[in-house]
Amino acid sequence: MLIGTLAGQEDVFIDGTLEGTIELSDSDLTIGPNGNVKANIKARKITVFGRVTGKMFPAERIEILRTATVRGTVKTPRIVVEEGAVIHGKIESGQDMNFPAAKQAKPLIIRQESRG
Amino acid sequence: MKTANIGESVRFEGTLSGLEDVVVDGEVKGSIRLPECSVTIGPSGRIDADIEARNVTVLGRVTGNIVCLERMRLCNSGSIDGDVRAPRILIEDGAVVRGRMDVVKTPSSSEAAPQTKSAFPSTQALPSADS
Repeated sequence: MLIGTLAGQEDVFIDGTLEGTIELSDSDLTIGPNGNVKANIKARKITVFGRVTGKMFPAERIEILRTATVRGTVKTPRIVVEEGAVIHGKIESGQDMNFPAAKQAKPLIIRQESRG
Repeated sequence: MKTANIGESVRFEGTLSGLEDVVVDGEVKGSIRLPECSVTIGPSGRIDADIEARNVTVLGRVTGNIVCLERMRLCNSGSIDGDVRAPRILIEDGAVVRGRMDVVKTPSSSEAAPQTKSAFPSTQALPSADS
């Protein structure tokens, strides 16, 4: 379990528990099926397979997959929600927000085993 | 099941209810109550109404709250300005949303929009013309 601020310029994969703030302005965040995140999130792209509670501000897009549970506020230029996903919260999506340039980076992986 | 079509040049104001699936390519203002049927808002459809239906598919524009008893599908050309309550919600890439989304097992219309229920009584409650 991680508590605090996660910031960086690498793509991040979280499959564990995290509480705090995530700031990855230029890279992507993936919350794995075992992920449980309570945070305000800024990232280029957010992909959710697990659970997230908080405010989400993807600069580009958010994908909420069928296994996901999302609670909170989402403000995004583009959104995809798969049938079966559980959502409770406010969503604001539209094309009028600007898209930062795409960039490739190696993902930083945080797994459940990293606890303790 | 039969399907009723509200054509592109048709403007409707009031409460739309019935036992047929409805495709709206025109404009509807007021409220749509089809708890046993499906509503499709076509690409040119414009809705300024609260919607209660079994299935709702949005390819056009909706301003109003949606209560869906089964499934709400917002296609990439569609937009919703309002709150949605449904057991299943699907949003395609490119869709525009502004409002609350709640995935609930059994959405009750009275909970989501109590004012619409009292303002538009069901047809069964209306006095019959004969006798």
